[in-house]
Amino acid sequence: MEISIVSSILASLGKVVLERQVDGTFLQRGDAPDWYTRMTRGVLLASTPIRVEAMFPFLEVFLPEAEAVWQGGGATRLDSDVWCETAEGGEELPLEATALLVGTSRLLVITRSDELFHERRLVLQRARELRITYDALSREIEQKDILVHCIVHDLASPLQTILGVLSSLDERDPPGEDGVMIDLALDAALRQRSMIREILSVFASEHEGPDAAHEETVVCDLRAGLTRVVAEHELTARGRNVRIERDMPPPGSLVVADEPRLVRVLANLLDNAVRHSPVGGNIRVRVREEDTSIEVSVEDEGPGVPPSLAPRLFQRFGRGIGPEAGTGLGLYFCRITVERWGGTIGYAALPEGGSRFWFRLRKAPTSTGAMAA
Amino acid sequence: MSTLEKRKVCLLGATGVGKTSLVARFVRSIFSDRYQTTIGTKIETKHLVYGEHVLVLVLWDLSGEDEFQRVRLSYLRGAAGYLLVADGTRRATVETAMALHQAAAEHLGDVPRVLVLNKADLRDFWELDDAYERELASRWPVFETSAKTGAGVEEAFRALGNALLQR
Ligand SMILES: Nc1nc2c(ncn2[C@@H]2O[C@H](COP(=O)(O)OP(=O)(O)OP(=O)(O)O)[C@@H](O)[C@H]2O)c(=O)[nH]1
Ligand SMILES: [Mg+2]
Repeated sequence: MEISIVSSILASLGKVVLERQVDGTFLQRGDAPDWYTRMTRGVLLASTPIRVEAMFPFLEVFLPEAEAVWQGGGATRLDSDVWCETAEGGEELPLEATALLVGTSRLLVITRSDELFHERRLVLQRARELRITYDALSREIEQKDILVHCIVHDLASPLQTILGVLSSLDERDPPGEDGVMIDLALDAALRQRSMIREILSVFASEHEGPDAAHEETVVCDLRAGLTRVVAEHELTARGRNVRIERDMPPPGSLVVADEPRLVRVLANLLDNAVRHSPVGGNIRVRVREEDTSIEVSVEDEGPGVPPSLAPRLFQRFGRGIGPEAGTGLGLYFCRITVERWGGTIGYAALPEGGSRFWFRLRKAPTSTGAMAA
Repeated sequence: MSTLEKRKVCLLGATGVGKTSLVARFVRSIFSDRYQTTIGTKIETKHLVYGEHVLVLVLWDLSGEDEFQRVRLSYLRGAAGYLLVADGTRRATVETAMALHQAAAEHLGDVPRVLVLNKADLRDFWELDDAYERELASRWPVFETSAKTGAGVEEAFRALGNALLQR
């Protein structure tokens, strides 16, 4: 009596209990749940020995593991992962198997587990859908970037003509107000060209292949680059009566960086320093050698970066939008470039006022440069 | 003389590439746009007739490989061959298929397998260029399929079945 109650409870919980025979076949014990009866289409008598792996191919991989339980001596229970049978009419039938050793009985319990199955699916599905959406959006953004790049690129070609015309007008050295106006137009056109170049070079570094992501091998001489950039900026600085002081790295200070872009990084920082310096101010370019790296910093006596902007300084459009901010890509370019070489970049407000921008580059393994005292 | 043989075949690939959809198209001629990720393993069978021979394919549709779950390679046990499935609109899924092939080959050795590039109905959005596909085709039997339209599906499974019968 009791036995039969237990077996109908198991059946109503969606479980069928099978007992393994010595010959490897199984006999049903107790009542069968509906799903099982439907699956066997009622043709099986409970007393018919069955080959479960023929009925549930999934068990081909579970039975060998279950044997370890049935042999005794170790764990007395093993659960399978969920698998899904397709019932008549395409309905999904999620199942789980448990191998048990009870006394000397070797039992295989197969359970229909809709709830667990649907919960798990819900979570995983959501995660996967989000992943797929995320990937699709990233691709779309990249395509838009490329589109913008093309537009910017196309904007540059008429500008070449404008610059050409303005330069030849300028060479005629027109008198009076005409000359001033041409100078103004020429200046504006040159500024526009340099903005376009900046945008294009940011784009180029962002879209280099993953191979370029860690350019361990490029090496350049810090001294040469620094000398060149400072010399170029001395002229504009003098126009505003700003002085540039600088440390000189010793010859052979080799760092992991490539020269054309290192020059652009330095130029960006110096541009900013000159632009934000008060008339008659000083700019200091410092070079400090550390164990494995060399730090370059550019300090000015300008108003400094408003604290609200500081955290976003090295992000795209981090300086806000406006004439002072330029393209909003300069510092962003500096960061992605320096990071590409395995370096770091940062900003600090100087205690006495003014800004200090610094970047640190790894010394090339062959560097022999020792800082001059 | 007619024969009947049964073979286990696994479908391997990244998530969402269309493994379940390909099986549904092949076995039951249906397709749904709704995504229902596979949990664990889903098993279906299909009879293929080659003249006198009947081949029963037991298709193991395994849960896809991604950052949330790995493919349980122990489920490859006893497989006579496998289908690697990738989604033509996502190039990274081809890399996943290649990685799964490496792992499967370690378990099963050199058994018949085909590479399926699914979602051919979305060809306009494919991330694979012709050169890349030619390179793949030089190393693999490659099939372009669409579980949505049915194009190429039967061919891919049949080709694999054929290779299984040859052995
Ligand atoms: N357009 C198009 N969509 C497809 C095709 N095949 C599958 N899909 C869709 O792609 C999504 C994922 O398909 P599934 O068959 O569930 O992919 P799966 O590889 O089984 O995914 P997992 O079980 O999560 O590993 C579903 O929304 C399908 O409708 C196809 O050939 N063309
Ligand atoms: Mg699936």
